[in-house]
Amino acid sequence: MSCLKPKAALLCAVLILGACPSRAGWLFFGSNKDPLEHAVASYDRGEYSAAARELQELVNKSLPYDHKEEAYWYMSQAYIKAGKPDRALPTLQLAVELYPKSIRLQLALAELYYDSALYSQAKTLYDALNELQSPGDEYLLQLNAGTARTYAALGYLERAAGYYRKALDTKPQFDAMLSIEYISCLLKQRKYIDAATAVETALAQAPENIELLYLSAKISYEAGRKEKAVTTLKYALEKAPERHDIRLSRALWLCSLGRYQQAAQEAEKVYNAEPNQAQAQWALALALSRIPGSERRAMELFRAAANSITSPFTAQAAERMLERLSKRQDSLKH
Amino acid sequence: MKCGLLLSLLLLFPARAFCADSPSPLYGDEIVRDFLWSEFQELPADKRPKVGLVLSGGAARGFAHVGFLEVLTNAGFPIDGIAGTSMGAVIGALFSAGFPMDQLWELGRRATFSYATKDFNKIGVLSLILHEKLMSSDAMEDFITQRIGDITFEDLQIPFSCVAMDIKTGESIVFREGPLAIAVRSSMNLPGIFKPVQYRHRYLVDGGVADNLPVDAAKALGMEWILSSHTPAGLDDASLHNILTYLLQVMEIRGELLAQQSIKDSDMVVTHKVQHIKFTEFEKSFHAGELGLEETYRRLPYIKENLLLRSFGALTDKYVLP
Repeated sequence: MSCLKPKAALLCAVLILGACPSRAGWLFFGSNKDPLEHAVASYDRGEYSAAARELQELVNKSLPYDHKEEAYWYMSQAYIKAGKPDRALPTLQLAVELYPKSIRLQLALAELYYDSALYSQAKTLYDALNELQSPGDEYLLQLNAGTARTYAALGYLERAAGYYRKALDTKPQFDAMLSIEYISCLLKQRKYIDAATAVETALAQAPENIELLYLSAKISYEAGRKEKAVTTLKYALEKAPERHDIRLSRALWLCSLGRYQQAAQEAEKVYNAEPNQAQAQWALALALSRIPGSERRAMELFRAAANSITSPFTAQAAERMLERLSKRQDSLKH
Repeated sequence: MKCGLLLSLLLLFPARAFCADSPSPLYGDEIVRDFLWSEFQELPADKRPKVGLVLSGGAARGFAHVGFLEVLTNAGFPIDGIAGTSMGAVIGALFSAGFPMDQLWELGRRATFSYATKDFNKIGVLSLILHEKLMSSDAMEDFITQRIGDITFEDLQIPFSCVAMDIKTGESIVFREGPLAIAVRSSMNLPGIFKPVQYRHRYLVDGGVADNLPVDAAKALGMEWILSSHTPAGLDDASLHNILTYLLQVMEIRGELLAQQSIKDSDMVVTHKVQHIKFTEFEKSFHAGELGLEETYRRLPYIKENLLLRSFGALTDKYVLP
């Protein structure tokens, strides 16, 4: 009788192995041991390549079903954090096929599509996820924010604004980046009143956020409040003097207001820091074009900007200005 | 020892690493383009070129024009005139009348042009062979008047024209005045399927066989800068299995040849990626609209640049000393 017990145990093991390999693995490895523990620990320590390798080996073995879903998720995130999105993508695509009901995996894939500028593919996934009756509260923020960004990238500004609002309503704490994206969306639709209200609310939470200040200035400028716009940018530049894009915008807006000397001073600062930058050359040249005695220098700068390879539109705009100034010079001679 | 350590630290880490400043974000053409675009929008209408939009025919594919119009509206494009053929005439007429954008999208979502699909579904090979009488396209006229009323071209918010063809003479007939609904109906009146529309002394059918991308009609409205919205047919993968499909294929080929001629006369063209949508797949109208929006949004910076360069003289007058 006693010799039957080991044989019975062996028979049970063979039967379990045959019926359910993944559960057999769990049985043999012990019910208390998480097979992903070591790999996840590597991931948590920031050893992403090692974690990805280990997880790849684990998924190739007989992991329990739930663990495999988690393994794929961690593996994809490890690849992304290790700077290998090209490996994360097929991992997630396979995982979503194997686990079509996993919202976490679908969201991860949609985000990766977005980050890889595959916006149409991201949209398809987000649209499908939004069709679900209840994707789960824990995913709502991620879903709304991801959908909003994807729609905004593709040009569906009205829809994007709606999803941004949902995302902002879901989030208990103030999120500057999300607010900035939402306000940008409103600005692109030229909804100046809504944008101004939103930016005021955001600035109340983060009064020194440079991007918010820049947005606020753009809203003022496009809504026709140019003086307010240049004042706001002056304040922003006191906080972030290295922001050449903001300084160039200010220079150009000062040109529009007819304040050419001030515009030239602003543009000169950027030009001194980046003398080969086509936009710096163009903005300075534009200001100088209206300052008597500075036309020659303006033409030199326009000539330089016209040779830009990386900024084709600025180059064309520079060439046109150069033509105009040259014609004027010729007409003065005659 | 301490000095040596400090020296090696200074050598290892550049001074900038100790600065709290973050580097300026990358920027490029958009700074100059956005500035000039703001200047452009302040130009009085008589100082800038008149902006004309041209909307091609394409039946279900033509719904891409809705996405096209939404992007331009959001971007603040001045629209001084619209010319359209067939589905381009329908969308153009509704837009010119001030029909709300969200309701235009709703038309596509419901594939409300079901009058056309219903009628096409009734057509069988046998019907076409045996029946002498063609169907009437009265439903299209009702469709227009139900949505924007029994108005004339003169009532429109944006100057508009649409094109039909006189089947008896082959002439291209451009509508620019008078009752709107019958003009639009004539423009979208498929020959061989619907009876010609008898209007005044003309027997009118779909303009797509005479001028599928009516750039000339837009110029006749006085437009000086033409932006065309083209919805090409996927001629290669047409499914040809009965008289109707052959007839439609012939019209598609003709329409495409005409459009290619007109494209050369446009200042800019947005060619929508809708070739996979068949003429009568009205259930895909909404999808066509989305594709139209995406392609137009993608091309928007270049469209703006083209218009800005065209308007450069007026734009920069104030930046040149007198």
